[in-house]
Amino acid sequence: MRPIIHVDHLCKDYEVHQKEPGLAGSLRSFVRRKYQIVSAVKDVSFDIARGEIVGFLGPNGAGKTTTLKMLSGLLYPTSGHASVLGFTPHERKAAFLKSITMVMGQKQQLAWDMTPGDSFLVNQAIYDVSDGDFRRRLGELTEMLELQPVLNKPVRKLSLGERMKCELASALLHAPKILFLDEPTIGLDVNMQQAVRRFIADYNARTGAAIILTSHYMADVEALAERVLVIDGGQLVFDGNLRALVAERAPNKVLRLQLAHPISPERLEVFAPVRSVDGLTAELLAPRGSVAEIAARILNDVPVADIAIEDMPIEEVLGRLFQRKPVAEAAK
Amino acid sequence: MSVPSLRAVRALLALNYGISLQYRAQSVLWMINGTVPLIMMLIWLQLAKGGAIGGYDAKTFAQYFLFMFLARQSTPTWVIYLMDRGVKNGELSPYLLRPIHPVWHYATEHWGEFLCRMPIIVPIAAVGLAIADAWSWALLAHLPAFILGLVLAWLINFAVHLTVGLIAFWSDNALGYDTVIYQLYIMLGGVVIPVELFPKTVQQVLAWTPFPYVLDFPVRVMIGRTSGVEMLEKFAIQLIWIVVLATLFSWGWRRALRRYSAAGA
Amino acid sequence: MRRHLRLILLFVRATVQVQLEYRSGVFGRTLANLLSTGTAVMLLWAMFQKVSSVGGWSFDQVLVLVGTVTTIEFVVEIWFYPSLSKITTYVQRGEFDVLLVKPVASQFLVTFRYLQVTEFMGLLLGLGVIGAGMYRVGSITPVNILLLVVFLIAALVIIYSLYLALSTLAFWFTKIEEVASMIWLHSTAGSFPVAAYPPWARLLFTFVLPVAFVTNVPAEAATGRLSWEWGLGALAFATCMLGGATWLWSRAIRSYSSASS
Repeated sequence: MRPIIHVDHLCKDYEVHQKEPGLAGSLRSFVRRKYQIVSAVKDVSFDIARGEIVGFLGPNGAGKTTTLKMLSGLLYPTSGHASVLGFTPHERKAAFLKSITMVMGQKQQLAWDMTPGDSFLVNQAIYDVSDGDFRRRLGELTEMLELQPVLNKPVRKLSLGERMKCELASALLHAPKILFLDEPTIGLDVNMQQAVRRFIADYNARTGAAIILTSHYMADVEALAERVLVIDGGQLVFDGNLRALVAERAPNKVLRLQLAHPISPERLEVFAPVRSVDGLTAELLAPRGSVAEIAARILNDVPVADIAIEDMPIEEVLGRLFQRKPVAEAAK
Repeated sequence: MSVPSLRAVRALLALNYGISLQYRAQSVLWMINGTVPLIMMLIWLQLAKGGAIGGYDAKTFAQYFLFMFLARQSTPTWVIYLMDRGVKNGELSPYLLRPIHPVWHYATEHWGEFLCRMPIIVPIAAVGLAIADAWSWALLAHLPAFILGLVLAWLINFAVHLTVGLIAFWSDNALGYDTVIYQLYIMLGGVVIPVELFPKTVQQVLAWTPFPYVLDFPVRVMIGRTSGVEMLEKFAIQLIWIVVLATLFSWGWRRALRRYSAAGA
Repeated sequence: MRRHLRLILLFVRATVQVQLEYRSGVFGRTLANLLSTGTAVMLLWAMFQKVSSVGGWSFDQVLVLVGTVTTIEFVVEIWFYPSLSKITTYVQRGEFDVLLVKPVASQFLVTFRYLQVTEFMGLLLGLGVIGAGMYRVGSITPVNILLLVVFLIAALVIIYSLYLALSTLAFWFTKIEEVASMIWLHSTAGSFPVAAYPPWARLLFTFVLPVAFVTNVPAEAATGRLSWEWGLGALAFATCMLGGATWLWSRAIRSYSSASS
């Protein structure tokens, strides 16, 4: 099947001027300005197929959002090419803009002083949605997102979660084929995060729309994305299944022991490096290949109530991947 | 720039009208600021007590500045402010994602405010005309040409500000230019001194700028101080300015978008 | 007191640093200042081509008035506007709490936080026009200069108080961004002698929009024509305005409720 998004050696550079600290530095930089080219995205290539949910992962400033903005036509790439649904995004053709949507968790698109309903009507007109389609989709979205009680309140009176649900509804009224979601759950409480996540998964299943998502919350990505693109320092460092990422990048599995009675860490040290001991729970790090063997030895020698073999938490795997912090510290 | 559907423009206008209605307190402040022509009227009326000045008698001054007040109040634009904010906070991004040129968002915001403001402005001007005993029913015949002149004037004004607003994509200080244009517009547009009362050489220089066509010309049409071929000629010049500025803007806009970095969004 | 002076210096430093970041801004504004002052003088000249005096003032005397307006306008532009207009922003974004928890009087903070001294060019321009006018009138004497300085300060106190009071309204009407534009009106009305207006408007421009005290009095002082009644009036008015605005501010702070909650 032909991909709906094809990205080919995409790059984006920004020009930023450098400044030395202090008043003297300011003066110097006023008289003679030094510019530095910062590469936000370096030579990134990938394809995305219809119906896929893809998560963008990476530390702050890695280039996730810049990539997303290039795909949605907000930014001109410095070099390379992106093709989305056969369009070149930065040309911003009306037909292209009508088939995508972008929801930015930190940027609001609804008119602050009016009701969500008012903004929906404007979107209907701007996206040229027929009355029939509009009623049907609004009905569906209202039901899926439980919007009924908030439709006629001014946006400024809504809670953050209610607002985000309305933003989603407003962004989907024109039935886009591709959804770009930039931090869609930022600032929401856990329940609301789950609701938004459920909705996104549902929406994908129902419509087959491709969803490209960035999030700080690993739970979003874990729950939604089969496939992840890991970007670090502007470069694509991993493209594939989330499980595969863990298998590939995390050499160790975590052995979680439920102890029958407290045991000193030294006694566990002989089996494998100890990650933590907390009362009756202990965690050991076992190399992937010898997990079964180590588990067997522990069961023989130590009184355990229960034993579980788990993957390393994804945050931790990523932490290692980005080499921002050592495992031991990330574990805390 | 593709032309959007009438339905889309109407929906945007309805939305912006609604928003303007909610901020009438702010509109009132704007209107106070727009009273400069009325202040100048007071001064010129005092001066004209000693007889007509340059062909303007007291009644003409009253008419000139009251219609100037109307013209000024119906053609303001704050689009440089909107563009500056749009670039700085990335508020432009949501507009760019929509299949309608952002200019339509800006334009309808102005129209919504206009609709909200007119019911207050027109009565003020009417009362002024009555008090100054400056109204005559014969003026009504000029109304269609006055309105046409104002529509074109607003388009010139909007296009000037849009074009200058493009500076926001390159510099952090586009707002500074807003002040400059505002002052030139007030001082050279006829708000302080009717353009006809400027020395001849100044008038000749001004004729090459958009300033006299934005306020002074429509007002003169209304009070009957221009007509016939001269009037048609000036309508034509208004149109030329609109075409020139619109071309300049769309050329600059394409370049501006290449620079847009969607900050903070 | 020493602590406050040090704080002001720190604020100025920080503001200058920010200003220097925006190069084109500094050049652009200097040019703009020249342009607008030049146009104002040209306009005045054009007006006096048609009339011999305005409200009993000669061209040279009105020139001093225009210089006074320019000077005051620039102080507003480089000091009052950048600092006090932030009040609206603080309130709208609910950031005011951050100011209130600082161990310095909030009025002091909002007043001195953004003092853009890099824009001093405009100020020199205004003083230059006053000087030129005084020279042509022939009124440059130490006494006149001293009086000019005293009444310019009184004028600035009045404008500051007016500005602060208007900005304080932001606490009650959270979307007032146009307060600043009031000052422009002030400067247009103030570029003419109050005597040039009809009698009812003179009252308006003396007590409601205090043009008389803000622009006419310093210009009269500079040209050696100030009567002691007007002088005392201006000083008394400035004192009352400052007191009133400070009172309003403290009331507003007390009734403040965060916009974000």
